[in-house]
Amino acid sequence: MLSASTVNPSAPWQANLWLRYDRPGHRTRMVECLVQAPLKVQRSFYPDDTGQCQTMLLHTGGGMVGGDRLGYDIVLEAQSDVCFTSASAGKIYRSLGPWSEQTVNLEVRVGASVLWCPQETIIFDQARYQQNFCIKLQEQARFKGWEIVRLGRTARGEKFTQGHWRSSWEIWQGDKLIWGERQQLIGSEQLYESPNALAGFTCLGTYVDLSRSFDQDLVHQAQEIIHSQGRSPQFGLTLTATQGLIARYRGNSTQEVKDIFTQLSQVISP
Amino acid sequence: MLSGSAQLKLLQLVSPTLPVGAYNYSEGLEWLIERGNITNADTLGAWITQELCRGSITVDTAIMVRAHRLAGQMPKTDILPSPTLKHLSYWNQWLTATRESRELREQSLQMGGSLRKLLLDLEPTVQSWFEPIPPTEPCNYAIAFGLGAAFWGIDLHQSGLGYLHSWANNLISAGLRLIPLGQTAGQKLLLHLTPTILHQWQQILLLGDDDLYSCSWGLALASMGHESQYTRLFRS
Repeated sequence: MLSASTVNPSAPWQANLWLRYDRPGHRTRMVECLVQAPLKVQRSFYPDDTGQCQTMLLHTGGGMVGGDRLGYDIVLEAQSDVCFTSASAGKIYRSLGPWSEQTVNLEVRVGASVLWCPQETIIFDQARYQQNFCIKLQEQARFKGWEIVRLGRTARGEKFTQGHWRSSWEIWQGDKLIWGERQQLIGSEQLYESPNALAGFTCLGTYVDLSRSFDQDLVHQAQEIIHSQGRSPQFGLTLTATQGLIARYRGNSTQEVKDIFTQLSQVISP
Repeated sequence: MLSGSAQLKLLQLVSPTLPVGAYNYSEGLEWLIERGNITNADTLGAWITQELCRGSITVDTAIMVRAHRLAGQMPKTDILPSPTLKHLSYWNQWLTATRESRELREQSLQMGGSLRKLLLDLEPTVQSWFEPIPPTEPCNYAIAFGLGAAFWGIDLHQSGLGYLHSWANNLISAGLRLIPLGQTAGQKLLLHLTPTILHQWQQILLLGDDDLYSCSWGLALASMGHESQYTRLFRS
């Protein structure tokens, strides 16, 4: 039996969001905004005097159901600087068959800078969810961001033992793919417990910083600082082919992973 | 059926004595064993089985398949460049960009570079087969293996089984040295992997370009951990 709380009965959403930013003076401003329900964007705000524009993305429909397709097409003109957050955790409901799909295309022009740090996505057991990130960086463009996923509604004791999650990332610098990944988890009791996959944990986090090049010493230092705090979850750091930084978290707490990533960004800041 | 000559070349290509340095790498096992996640033949076998079923090696092998197929269609060098040739370099760069860690990327590129050089020494005419990948571009092992196998007339099926078998054999050998386990335990484990290797090879052959996904959280974390492990036998 499927209850109303886990399968959204409404028809699937096919919605897009287009945003464009520029930076004629000190401040970055949003110059184009076209949004289809259930997506919504809060008015830009400027938390400090760096000229960075902060944009909060909202999903007003509660979460994604099988068949939903959401697309984000975002352009940052030269030198603009935007931080994207989201108002609340994303939810992906269980599906009777069709996939939910979310695609984010970010075009980051010369010298522009993106910080992408949304709330976590909660993927319900039996959900089928595909997400795609495609980021195109022009010269001197920078990307830094994270992705946090909770598998199963663990507060209710739910485990992700059925369903399918796929995540694809591509970050291009000009015509060269500088970092990518294709992760998937096919829900099963075995993969839930297996050290190859979740090792019994429920929360996964990836932190990506391609805003500059890092050296191996800094990676080791950062790793030691994070580990020295006696935290139990698993955490690792490595360098990409272009000396960008990748961090991974496998644990049980979305608050903890956010704290670790926030601390990491402070430790490695120049 | 492979010709006798192709069969002997396959044995040479998948031999643990092929001088590409495979024995230097444990692909995260050294860290997992130090942490107590893998302690005996059963847990070693479970790790390798899961990797074969869902892990990064499935995608890696799928790229070897692409290199083998593209090599099979390789036109003569006088009609360079063609779209086919672009693809080989595309897959090579794709694999470099999607490696789970610095260590795994460097392993693949070191072994790939060594194999490319060895093949060029053994078979100077293989040069044109490697042409889509400029000498300045590091070459992944899966690509070099696929091209080398195709050049030697080893069919795709035998190449794939050989590739998976030599990968498993190398990890088992690393596991034996680290846990440690006896040689017979290692041979038992390798033999028990036979149905998994056969089955997974069939699955890998079916993977389309949009299906190249794996579940490699454990491998990524183990390999990242190994990069900063205090004492190591295996290369990082």
